[in-house]
Amino acid sequence: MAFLAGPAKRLHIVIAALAVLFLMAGAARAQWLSLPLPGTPRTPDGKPNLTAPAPKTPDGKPDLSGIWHTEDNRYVDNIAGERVDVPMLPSAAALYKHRQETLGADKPQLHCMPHGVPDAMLVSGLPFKIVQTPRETIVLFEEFNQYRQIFTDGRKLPEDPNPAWLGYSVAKWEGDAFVTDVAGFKEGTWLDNGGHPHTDALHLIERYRRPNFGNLELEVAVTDPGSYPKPWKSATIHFKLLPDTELLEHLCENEKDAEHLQISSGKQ
Amino acid sequence: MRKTLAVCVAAIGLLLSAGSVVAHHAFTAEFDAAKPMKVTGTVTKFEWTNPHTWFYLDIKDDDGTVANWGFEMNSPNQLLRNGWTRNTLKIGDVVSVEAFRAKDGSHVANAKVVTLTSTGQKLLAAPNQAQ
Repeated sequence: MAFLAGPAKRLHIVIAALAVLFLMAGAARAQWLSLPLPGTPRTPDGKPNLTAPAPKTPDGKPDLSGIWHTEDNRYVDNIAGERVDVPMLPSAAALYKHRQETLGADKPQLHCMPHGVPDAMLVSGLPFKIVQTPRETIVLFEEFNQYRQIFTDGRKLPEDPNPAWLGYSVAKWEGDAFVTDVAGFKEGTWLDNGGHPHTDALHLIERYRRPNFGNLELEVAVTDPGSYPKPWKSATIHFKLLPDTELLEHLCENEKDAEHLQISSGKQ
Repeated sequence: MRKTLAVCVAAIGLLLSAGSVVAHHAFTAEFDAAKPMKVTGTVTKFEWTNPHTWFYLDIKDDDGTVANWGFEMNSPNQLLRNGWTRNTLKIGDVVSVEAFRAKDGSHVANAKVVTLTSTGQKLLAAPNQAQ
């Protein structure tokens, strides 16, 4: 640039300064919440192409990996679907009625206890990350830093396991659907914030499909002879990809809601 | 420009979230959507913690009596995604807040929108209350 002089040199300096500012602004954004992740298909303007085909693993299976969330809370209010009533056994119906009448005041999360399967994935403001590997698929939930391991190495579900909040999960592929088999639950979780209950006899079959890069779908088949007279299915739950971002730590370190709850009826 | 965008995003988010806030069981067990309040006060404490952030304001009533109120907002994570940082509120800042009062009558409310008096910047406090 030494050979430039006068206005041309000044123009170059201005351009260089603008370029530095632009790069600095990029660096400020490119931290944790907003960063261009490799492997993301992009439109010509550089934005993630959410309608691109779903990625595949080297063995040709769909790759479900990514950070996902629901766009609203309709599924976590009722996984069966809006205004859908699920037939229940009398004991489950009484518990559900109590939870509805008390506006969810006994909800485990208000005591810093976790959501379960599937509702840990259904709170719109709390995304989850799927990491798919050949032998296991790991789900990292932002809420309370929980995780779930779904084994695809051919093992069977454990017999008479120690009951667990998120159960025990194995899975296999059926065409383009990732189909889990989940059991070994503790009674503590609710199936949704609406309060659909379950016993430790709960058995879930989840079917995940990724129709394209930006969308993931889930249907859950619920069997629990301790709560429901017959198996039933959730609504088709739609998740959206959160591109170019990361999860954040979320521990329940400052819970203050429980003391202010106004319970309108029931046990307390 | 970015602030204007943040305000627009916040406003749209508030509109979108109104339904789910009302529908949320834990929200309705604690706060009353029929008791909105809009007040101005001075920040005395800001707890940037999960599962919910809280800030506290000294608020003067018509008689000049000062009371300290606690305002709940969403998790730090959700606020970060809506343009907040842990330094957005400082002790001594004057802010106005739109909120819904707790049903138990205590000096506690769920904040929806916080406006920084010094800059006029509006920030969405609870894009989505469900948890």
